[in-house]
Amino acid sequence: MSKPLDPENPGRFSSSLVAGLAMLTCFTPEHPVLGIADMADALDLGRSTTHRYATTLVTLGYLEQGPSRKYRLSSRVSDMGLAMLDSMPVRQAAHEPLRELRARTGRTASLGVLWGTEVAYIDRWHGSLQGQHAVDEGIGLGTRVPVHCAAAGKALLARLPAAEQQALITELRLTRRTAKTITAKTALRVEFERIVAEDGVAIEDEELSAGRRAIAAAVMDPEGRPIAAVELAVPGEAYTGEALLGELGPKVIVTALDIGLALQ
Amino acid sequence: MPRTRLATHRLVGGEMVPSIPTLEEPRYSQSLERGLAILECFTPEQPVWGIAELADQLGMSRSTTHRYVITLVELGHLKQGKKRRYSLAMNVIDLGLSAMASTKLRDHAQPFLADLHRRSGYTVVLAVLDGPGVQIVDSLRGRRRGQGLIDLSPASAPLPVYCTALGKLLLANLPESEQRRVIAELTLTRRTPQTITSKTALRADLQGIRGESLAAADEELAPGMYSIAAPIRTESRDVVAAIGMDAHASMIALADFIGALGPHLVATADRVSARMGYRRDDERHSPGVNGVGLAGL
Repeated sequence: MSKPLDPENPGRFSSSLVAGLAMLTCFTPEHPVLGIADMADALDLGRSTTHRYATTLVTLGYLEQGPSRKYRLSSRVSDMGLAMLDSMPVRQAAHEPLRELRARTGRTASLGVLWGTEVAYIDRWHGSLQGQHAVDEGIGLGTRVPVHCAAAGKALLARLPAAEQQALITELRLTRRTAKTITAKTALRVEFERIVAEDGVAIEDEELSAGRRAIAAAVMDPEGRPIAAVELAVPGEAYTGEALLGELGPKVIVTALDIGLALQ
Repeated sequence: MPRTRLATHRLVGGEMVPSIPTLEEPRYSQSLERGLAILECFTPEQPVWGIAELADQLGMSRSTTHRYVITLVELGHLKQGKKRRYSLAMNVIDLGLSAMASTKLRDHAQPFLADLHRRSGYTVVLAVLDGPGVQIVDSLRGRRRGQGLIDLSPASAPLPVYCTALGKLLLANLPESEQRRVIAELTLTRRTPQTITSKTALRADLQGIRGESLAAADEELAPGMYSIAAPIRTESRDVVAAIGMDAHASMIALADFIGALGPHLVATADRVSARMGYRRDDERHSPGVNGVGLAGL
């Protein structure tokens, strides 16, 4: 990202802006604190240039410097991130229905959108009933997970128009997360057929992480495209077998419908 | 990497003055400042901007504004719509996702907990609710006498929800139906003469705590053990966690503990909440670059 966007005409774009924005994306859940050398390596920039941008971002309040002289994102970046997520109409439409879904079930309710070959969680209400903490560990607002492992991802993919679904399946690398992860494309296609036959309800049975089960349904926009998915994640031992589908399925479907109607 | 081109003018004390050349300001990138200021103009209240409007808003020349805008378009952060007007595009969401994902409760809280621990000398605990138990997420052990009474490490068994300040605070702030479900499954075991053992009394106690910035437990878990807790809220105002401290009756009276440490605990919780995106009503609009309002939440 640090290369000039237009090599023929490098002055046309602001390379400082390009590099500065790229710098903000270096910070990840795995690496929330970074030094100048870490950022310089990640961006393929010189250390003095990197230092200059980092200093600018500190002055502007986007980065904070801790006692170790290393940098972390400030709350201003979370504010900006939230403002950006809030610019998505589906997040706005989903916020209250999701809050209600969480309140009625005591389980964590999320809104996922398709993001390349991943599903990204753009809204999330944490449930507090027993076992929920372990299930939700490591997944928060903004987290992305492989689409084939998560209920939200499967619900979205299953409702895509056939050609788009086919194109996306071709792109997928079905990495194994647990012993139950679907890792064959034929098996995934069978799964999508089953989801469509089940009123669009996707079940995730410890495919993303051990002990986590989830259920999801897609939110359809006025043109009939799946633009997001409502997902409830639960501890596996709390909802065994059909209990997940029978008890939580209708609630997830109704919530997804409500959000879709609000988008009309 | 080519040197930054110069923005032509900047607003100083209400007057447009030529910007200071980058060479004289080697530690500051004005391009970066300007570009980010442009991005922050796009809010849910005003999602669409033209070049001239942006230039006026930020006190920049139109040609400079245009250069930053086309850079942001090229990066996929802005898109051009009808009549050469611009709005946020998909990659900005990417930036938003990264920003949110890279900020976790425990990481957010850690420096603030450490600060409170260092200044007070008391054990400081970060916890979340998990059904009938309070799950400790992080803790810093105090050095004062009587602090080791109860094991408060993340590895310890969950604390009971009905006789700790942390538990009562988290339970009090649950949605009603969720709170009912948790209470229905509770067994209120008498731990001390002060433990609340009737569900009616517990509900009354929770009623008083809901929405408050501090909760206390008065020797309800163990004899001689006082505890206080304050809520951590997210952008959606939901109480997702709490921080707490405890003290031994031989060291301090409960009223003094609340009076002396309570404000610090609440201030620390507020700082963590701010990091989680929570804004009180009176601070929903914080000043941005050059006084430009931050995107309204």
